[in-house]
Amino acid sequence: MPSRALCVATLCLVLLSVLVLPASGLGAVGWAAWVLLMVLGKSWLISEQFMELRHAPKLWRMALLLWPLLLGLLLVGLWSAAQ
Amino acid sequence: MFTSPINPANTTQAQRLPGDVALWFFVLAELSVFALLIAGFAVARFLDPAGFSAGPEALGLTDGVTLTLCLLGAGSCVAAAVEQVRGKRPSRAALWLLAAQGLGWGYIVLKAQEYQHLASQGLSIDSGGFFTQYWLISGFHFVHVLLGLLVLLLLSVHLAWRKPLALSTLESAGIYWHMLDLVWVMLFALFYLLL
Repeated sequence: MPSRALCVATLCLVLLSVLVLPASGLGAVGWAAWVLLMVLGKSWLISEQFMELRHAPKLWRMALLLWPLLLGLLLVGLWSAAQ
Repeated sequence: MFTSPINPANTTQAQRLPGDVALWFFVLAELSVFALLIAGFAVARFLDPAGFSAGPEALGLTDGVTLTLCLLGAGSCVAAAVEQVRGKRPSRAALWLLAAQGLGWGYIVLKAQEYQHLASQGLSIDSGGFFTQYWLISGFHFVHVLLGLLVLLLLSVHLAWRKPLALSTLESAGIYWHMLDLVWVMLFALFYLLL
């Protein structure tokens, strides 16, 4: 059987993936912020738990955490500005 | 004498980078390419909202969630396989890799159906706006998933034949697959959520 940590991380990923569905009624900015939050949550779980970067040198951790953060901010910023 | 800080032999648990360091540079290069493509999509959409408005309606949110669950589920199975190899249980690791391939092929079949559906509506890479970018970026990711499945197949056959396999090799394959998950999480938001 997989470890408990892996099972919890998988469950959290599934929840974060499905939680976008009931939030579709939010306003434009609220929806964009919610989507960004879900993206960041999933990306954090993938890099820290699945890629096991929680024990890696700081630079590698930062690189993998900044990738979704910067892209997510760009997407949501441009998306909100276009509304 | 110079010692590399990322050599597992020279580091504590708190400083270990799993897998092969060359693979990590490859992952960074791949993420940079995807970042450029995604940023290009976002800017193009900002400059031409009308050209992108009709596009996302052709994609189903439920399909997007299903594709996400397939890819992330496969990633969990790969991570479980790595744990089994660490516990010296190669047969179980091979089974987890097979499960990962099953979910990965689920993604491929669903995505192929989505492509077929769009093509049948005349929404091809030449359609401009959203669909040109969609076919380009998602197709690039699709090819990467196929390559990842080939790697997982080779590793599972290797384990099933009880041949010795370095842990870093399986870790590297896992890191490649998780990179695909990371990119997909962003593509899912891009194509299916931020309509």
